[in-house]
Amino acid sequence: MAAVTPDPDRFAVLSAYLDGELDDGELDEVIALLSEDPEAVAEFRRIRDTKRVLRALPVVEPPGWLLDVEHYGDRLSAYLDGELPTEEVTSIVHHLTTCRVCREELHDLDRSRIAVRALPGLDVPRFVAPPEPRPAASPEPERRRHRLRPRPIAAATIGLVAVLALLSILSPGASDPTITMSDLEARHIARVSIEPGFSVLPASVEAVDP
Amino acid sequence: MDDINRPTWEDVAHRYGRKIYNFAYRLTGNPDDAADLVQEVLLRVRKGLERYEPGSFEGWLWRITRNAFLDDIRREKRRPTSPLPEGDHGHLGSSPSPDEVLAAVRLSDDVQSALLKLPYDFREAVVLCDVVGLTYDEIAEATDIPVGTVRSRIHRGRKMLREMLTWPL
Ligand SMILES: [Zn+2]
Repeated sequence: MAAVTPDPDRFAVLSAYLDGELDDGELDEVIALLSEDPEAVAEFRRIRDTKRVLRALPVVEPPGWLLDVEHYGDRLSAYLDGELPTEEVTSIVHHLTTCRVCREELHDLDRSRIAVRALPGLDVPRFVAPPEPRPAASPEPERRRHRLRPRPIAAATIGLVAVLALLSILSPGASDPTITMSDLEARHIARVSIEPGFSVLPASVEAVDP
Repeated sequence: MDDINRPTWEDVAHRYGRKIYNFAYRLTGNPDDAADLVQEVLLRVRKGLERYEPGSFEGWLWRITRNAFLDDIRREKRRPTSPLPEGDHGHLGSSPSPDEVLAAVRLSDDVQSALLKLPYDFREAVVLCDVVGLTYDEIAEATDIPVGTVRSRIHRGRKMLREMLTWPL
């Protein structure tokens, strides 16, 4: 045989063969190569051993806080609302010191929460229905919900109020239907939703500002 | 919009966190960098930064992972070549003898430092193939190079490793 400069990738097909990545034509080619060329056989053995060693690399365990601890998902909202038991608050606060993703999620949730809480309270317009005598209004939305009895007139009133509220949100930026966070915050009556003394993030953690 | 079935970052953390961590660890040899990378990937998944096409989940996820890794290297101007802290503490199969454990740790340390000496493109291809377990097509999609190039990078990477490693196995 004439001396030919060996192509450095001449045996690349051997790796692909080991990885099960050959089509039928190439498969025949490899089988022919391995039956004719002792150098190819030697190369095949070396590559096979290398692959074995790589595959045998141990799985490295990530630190517990990264994956083994569950992330907090919907409990982050409950945390913001002060609705979690103390033990869970402690573990969330601890988790937030290391987990950037939950921190960012918490920050976004808080912005939505502020936006909704910032919606102005509207008075029922007098021409729709005379104010009914009702027990002293509580500022807490939670309680108000239970007190509503959807009698027809009240339901109609609520519907109208909702439409008006929506219009009052949408109309100022009439040309642009998008409601931005800053619109909401600008129109807001009480800008801070979190009760004084209730800290969203542990002091050691900086808030994420996207 | 094809983003409706896009997996949530919690799904990705749960199903792929360990794989991403191992990918990063084998590429950098550094546990802190690996943990940072996992968080960065989850943040990118959360923000939906890469368009998701159903059916190519692996390509999508590993493209995000690889971009996060490369951005990190560019930002830090850090060449990921730090040595292993104290061997690996991974799973070595069913209760091997102390000698076997020692040998395996020493061997995996050798393999790890050899990996870190490979040029990045070869190291990445070999790790995606042999540590993460992707097919050549998936690697091509994740790294945006032709399958033929994937094939030759994997092979040349293995050859270089073989020359660096000394064993009787
Ligand atoms: Zn988390």
